[in-house]
Amino acid sequence: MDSIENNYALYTLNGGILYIRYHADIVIKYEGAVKIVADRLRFQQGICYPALCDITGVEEVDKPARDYLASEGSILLKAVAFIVGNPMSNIISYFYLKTTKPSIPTKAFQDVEEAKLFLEKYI
Amino acid sequence: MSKEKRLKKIAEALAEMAAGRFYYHIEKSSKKDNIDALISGINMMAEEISEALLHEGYVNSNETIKHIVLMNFEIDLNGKVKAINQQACDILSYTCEEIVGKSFDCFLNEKSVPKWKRHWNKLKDKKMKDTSLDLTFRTKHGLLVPSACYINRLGGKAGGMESLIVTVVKHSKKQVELEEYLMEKEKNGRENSKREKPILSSMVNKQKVILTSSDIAKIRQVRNYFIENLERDFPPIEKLAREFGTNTFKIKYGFKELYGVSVFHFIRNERLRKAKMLVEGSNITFKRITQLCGFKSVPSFSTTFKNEFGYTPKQLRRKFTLENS
Repeated sequence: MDSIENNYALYTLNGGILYIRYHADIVIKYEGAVKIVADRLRFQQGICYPALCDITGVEEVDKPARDYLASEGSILLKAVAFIVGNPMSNIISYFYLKTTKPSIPTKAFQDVEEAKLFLEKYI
Repeated sequence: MSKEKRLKKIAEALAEMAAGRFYYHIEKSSKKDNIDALISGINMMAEEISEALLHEGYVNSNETIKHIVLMNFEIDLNGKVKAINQQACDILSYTCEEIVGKSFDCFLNEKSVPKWKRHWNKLKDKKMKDTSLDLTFRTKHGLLVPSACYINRLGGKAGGMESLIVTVVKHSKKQVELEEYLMEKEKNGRENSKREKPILSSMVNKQKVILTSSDIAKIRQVRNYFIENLERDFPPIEKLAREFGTNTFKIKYGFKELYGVSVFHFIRNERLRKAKMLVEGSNITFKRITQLCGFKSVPSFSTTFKNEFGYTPKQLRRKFTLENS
């Protein structure tokens, strides 16, 4: 199984990196956040990966979803690189990084190659 | 909507927030431009501050007093507002006359209207009793007020529905107003003032230990240390307190105040929470989960897990797999 998809994102494994690409115009509420993490964990089959998380399609993450992702969002991940490409995803990643203080190395990038370079250390 | 109008709404929301009212949200356009991003940032900030204020109120309740702002709507059988309290008019920036007699959904945003209508039909058809529902109100000036609404049916003689009461609880930080409000109630000598007197006196008499913002920051650091190192055996609290530059009493007291549980229970709960996620969502062996979550042995992990969730890890994984296959 090299990729799975749900209503929120496409999960792919390639070269030791877990790629999570959110679909366009996604609003994440609490139930969505639970589904996003649960599907990721099932896909990973217990193996810890660095993740490249393209959130350019995310339009909004509500408070309960933010709280859930802050406590459960980085479980079984070695590091996270957010890809941000528009003002909305920029502010969402800003908020996440500032308010949740992730327990694993987490950074936001505009450039995919730079993000991969950052993650390579954790493969 | 023009750029000027959007900026005007931002200015209005910021003015409300400056006055301590963080329950307003600004509506985004569909442009997803820099202004929308700024609006998202302000809305998220309002949510965070709103919660932080409540939290602070909980920690130092003899310094900061929670102010409960209530919106009450009585709705008749045609879905129209029969009566409303003054605070709801203030929050929505309408006069009472502008609201009473109008359909309740006139004061909701587009997304909330169909949601309300669905519930309204079920309530009318007696398919639903009391319920709660997330609805977003729209003020006269176009600001949004996302609210958890508690909806109660009021019955009549024949057992049918006479009207509905929609209740919304909001919080702000206006100590003076609250005190004046309580004094006023006491003076009026109402029936329920008997219950309010002890509340007022307890606010004055209750001497709680004050946790400064630096104490709270240290307790949060200790909490983060626990969460990030669940697989480890933790040193005694005395040692941790020294490392984090605080004392045992403040850690023990602070955990109870901030997280509602003792340090021991906090660690236990976090270990179990992580373990449950791994049991349900992964195929990591139970031996490895035992190590990752800092339990002493597989049998002790299994027993603690069963006591907490009613299933052994094995049973829960099987159940979860069956339900999701």
